[in-house]
Amino acid sequence: MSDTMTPGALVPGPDCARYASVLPVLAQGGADEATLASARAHIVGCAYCASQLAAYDALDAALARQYGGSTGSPAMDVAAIMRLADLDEPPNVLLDDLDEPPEETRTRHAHAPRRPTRRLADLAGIAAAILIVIAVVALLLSHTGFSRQAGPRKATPAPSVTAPAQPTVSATTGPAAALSFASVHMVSPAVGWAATNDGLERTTDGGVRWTRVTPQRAQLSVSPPLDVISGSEAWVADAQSPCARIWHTTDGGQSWAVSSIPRSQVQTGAMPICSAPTFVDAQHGWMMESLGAAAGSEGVAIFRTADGGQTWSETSDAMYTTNAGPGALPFGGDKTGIAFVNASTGWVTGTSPAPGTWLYVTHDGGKTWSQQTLPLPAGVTGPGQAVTHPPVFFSLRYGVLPVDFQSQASKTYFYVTHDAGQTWTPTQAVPSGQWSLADASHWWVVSGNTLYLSTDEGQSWMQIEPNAVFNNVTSLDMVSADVGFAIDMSSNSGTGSLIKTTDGGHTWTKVDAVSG
Amino acid sequence: MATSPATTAAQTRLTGMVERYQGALFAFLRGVLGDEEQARDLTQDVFCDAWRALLRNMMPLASDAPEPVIRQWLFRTAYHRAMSALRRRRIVRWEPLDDPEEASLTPKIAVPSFESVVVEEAALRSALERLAPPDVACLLLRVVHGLTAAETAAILSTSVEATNKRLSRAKQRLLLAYTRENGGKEGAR
Repeated sequence: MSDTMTPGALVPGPDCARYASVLPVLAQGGADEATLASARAHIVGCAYCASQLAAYDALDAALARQYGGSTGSPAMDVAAIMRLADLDEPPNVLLDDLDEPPEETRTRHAHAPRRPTRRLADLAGIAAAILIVIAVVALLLSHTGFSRQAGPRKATPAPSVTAPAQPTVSATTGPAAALSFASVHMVSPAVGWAATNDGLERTTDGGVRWTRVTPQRAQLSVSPPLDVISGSEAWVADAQSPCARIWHTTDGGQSWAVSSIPRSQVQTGAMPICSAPTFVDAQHGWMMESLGAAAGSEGVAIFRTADGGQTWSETSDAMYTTNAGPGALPFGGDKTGIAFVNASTGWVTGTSPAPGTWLYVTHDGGKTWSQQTLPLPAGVTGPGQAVTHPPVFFSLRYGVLPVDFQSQASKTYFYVTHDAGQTWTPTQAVPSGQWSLADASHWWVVSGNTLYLSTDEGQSWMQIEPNAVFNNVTSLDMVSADVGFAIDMSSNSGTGSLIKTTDGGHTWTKVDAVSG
Repeated sequence: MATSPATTAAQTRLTGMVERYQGALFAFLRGVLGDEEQARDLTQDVFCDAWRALLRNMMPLASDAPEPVIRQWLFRTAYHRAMSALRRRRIVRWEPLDDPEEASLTPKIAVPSFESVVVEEAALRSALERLAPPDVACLLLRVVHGLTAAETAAILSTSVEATNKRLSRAKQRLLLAYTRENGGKEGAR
């Protein structure tokens, strides 16, 4: 091993932070090709990252040696297995006792959002739920949207580029093709949007036929940050180095306008990963860019628009290179998202060791931030991890802020506010999973293959055992008290199937969705 | 024991599965659970599940199921059984390695020579115990057993993106934990 790898001998350069999360997965190809290629090119000339990569390779080798399955094989007796199987559990147990996945399954919210990944896992699921609520709120309040994304630090003159609306690919004319869904965002039982293996799709018949509406020049990820305002209006962000781009449609995806997010003042060179923008009215919106994460810390930059997304300026940031003085967001803590209740007050959420919670609030549109302390639910203690998620508002004062407490068992507490977020009160816990807040009085959580429903603002939860079609759900999107959609990933082929309920989650049927 | 042709065929398939996967499943469960005896028991339980499925020709273990599907089914069953066992055992340790104060320093930390560290099972086990069980499962599936991100995502009931992110963070945390465990032994190859 090189002498240069001795502790303290090497220090990272200015570009190293952008590769901190790529190096661990380089051997497994755990990123898109462009990112992997960029990392490999960087390593050639960077002794620090080369040493880190060597450490990860050695770690892989150690894991393979110790857990490769070549030692300690149990020498199972097949006859004994068959006897035990006959004696033991009933025939249909199989995966039925497998309860909920222990941790965040929320693709969209946890991940898709802050960086198109955050769990939520997470994010696909949570994001969908939040987006649905957002859509509902938007309809109620005339024009409101919430999303999260990041951006750099000081307010700069927003040199964004606004392009004329670009015609997009409309309905395909070829034979109908089956779709694999990553996330679904319905605004009514008939109309909605979805991210699929083929890009962005839109339906007007309850999910059977979908029309491809991907912006023609967009470079969308598999589950892109998507903020659905209504059946005709949506925002989607793509990854375009060195700056992210925001696409906006108001005609159901027939045409899109694009604007670029300016480069953050603290951007280290990493391709920014942004969430969808979040709007409180037709003009004012925010987005948060992830500038790279490492070991529980994450650099972010927050941008704001005051002209409906045509131009964006950086309002604040958090990076290890910046001085986290009063009013600044800390670099420490994984950020899970951003949400605003009005043009001045909003929150950035994230993770922290329990029993503490990571929640920062701004009252000046995102320029300065201060920590907001949440009361701890009874019985919750450390150690463990607490994960706050962007609040969702049903009115200008009434909102919900989900918090996962992950320790021996993962539970989610929906904190409620009736004073626009000045105070938050925890409600009854429910096993963690993805959630969908159909309206102010119908909150749904899917944990494992079980659905939980609260109709009293989280004061109590009713357990629902759906039929077998509801299996391995990764995205839940309840449109009303009766109608909802979900994505079933149980096919083993990695294909996400669209399933639907019309009886409040008890009975689900597969939707034979096709594009074209 | 039933001796119909279908049962005989199912038994043949079970025998093949046991031969091919008992070592891998046992190692996977040992890594996630940190307990050899329990890993042995759950490995057996997984094959019991498989036998019931085979007898009923249930999807996805129907007679024409391709090998990757079988493998994914077995690991998914093993993962869920492990998680259920851990919940019952209630000894899951979630020791946060990422407190903000410490994590904020991470980008400036020069990683010690990992290869110069004595790789010993006890130290690796101790480091793995400081990770969340789903992180351990993700690590083992991707790094040790070579499953794809899509396969791992299906097993962990999450997305490919979330899986890649989990893998990245799990490795960072494991390296940090392992380095701590071996803080006084560096260079003692």
